[in-house]
Amino acid sequence: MNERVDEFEFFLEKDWSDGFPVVTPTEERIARMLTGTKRNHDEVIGPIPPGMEIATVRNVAVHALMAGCRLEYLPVVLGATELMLRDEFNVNGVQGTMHGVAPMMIVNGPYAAEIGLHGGNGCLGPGFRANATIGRAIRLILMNLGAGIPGVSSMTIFGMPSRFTYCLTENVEDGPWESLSASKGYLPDDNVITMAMVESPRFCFDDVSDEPDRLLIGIADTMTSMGSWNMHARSDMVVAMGPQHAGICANAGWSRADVHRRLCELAGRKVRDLKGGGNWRRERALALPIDVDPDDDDCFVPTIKNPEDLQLIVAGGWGPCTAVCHGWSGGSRAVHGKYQV
Amino acid sequence: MCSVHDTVEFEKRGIPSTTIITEAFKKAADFQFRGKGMQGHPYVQLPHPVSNLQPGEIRELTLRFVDEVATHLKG
Repeated sequence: MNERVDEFEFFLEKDWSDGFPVVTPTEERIARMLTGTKRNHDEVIGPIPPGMEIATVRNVAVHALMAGCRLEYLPVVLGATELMLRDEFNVNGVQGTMHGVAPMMIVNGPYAAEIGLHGGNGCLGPGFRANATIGRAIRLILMNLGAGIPGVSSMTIFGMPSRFTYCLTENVEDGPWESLSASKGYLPDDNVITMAMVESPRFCFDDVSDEPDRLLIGIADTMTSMGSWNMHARSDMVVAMGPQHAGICANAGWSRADVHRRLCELAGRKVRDLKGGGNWRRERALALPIDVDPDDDDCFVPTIKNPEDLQLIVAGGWGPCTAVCHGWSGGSRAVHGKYQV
Repeated sequence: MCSVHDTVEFEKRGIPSTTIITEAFKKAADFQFRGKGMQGHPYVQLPHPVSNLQPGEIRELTLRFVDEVATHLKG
């Protein structure tokens, strides 16, 4: 690097960052980062839409480095890059949309714990290098290889704080149930990533309920909103119950599946409530993949149109709170799969 | 911008196709056509927004632009 060039300013001036300084990817640092994977450095992962630059093991490692990852995080970044290119996830659509959803990464399995991914107190906020930098690496890949840059190809109205990073693991230590990946049929020792295109979380604080029925009514209410696409299209959602809320259910004998089923039943609004504002359109209601009669005011419109679209996890620290992340309208289905360590 | 992607895929298969966007998506459409190797491919640009129009207004908009759509499809 030329002495007259400030390396931090260099990357910011070229729009090669998310607005924060990046770690300068020198050849020496890149070589060290690449020791974090056994994969061939030239292996092609795929084109990142809409820019369609080809992600390879090597340039994914460059972005992991720029984001501040330790080399041990590289397998997770590679796994997530591969996973998010599945057709059903529709990264292409999200890169251009006016909405602001971001790919939330839920990383399960022993490797997540080994590298220090955090699922407890403050897990969706600052302070945890693995969470902060793995998610940031994915964002840098979406911007630098995919050109998902606001005003260039991204028409997002606001963006979202979660577009800087959106990565966590579950709080399996304090949670009462099997992990999300185990609920999908993976083995406890499998290293699995689940990704869902969702908004930043909104909270359901409830320090009053002491039994599941009342508790889940409040959480289900947080899952509905006139302006949420979940009410007007088939749309994914992540509900992250704090261990305290999950414990209330588990102590009453409710399994993860019981809570999941009950939330799918409870969350929703009647046509009468929906049609007064927000995104309600009769045509949209008729286009839903479930039977909804838009002319029947008493017809119940469930938030979750297909139970597979609700990812229920346990995360966060102790306290009476559940985080609810609403989804996108444009047709993105959550994806999950094992990654190579 | 799935519509640009679909147009490109149809055109690659020799099936004439066009993209209909609202003007708010112009930059994204231009970028995507360029990125997918079809810079300058014609598309139809509607005023923004359209999602709040009533059925009669949609019909009127359709009639205003249908000839342009047909022209693009004829190549």
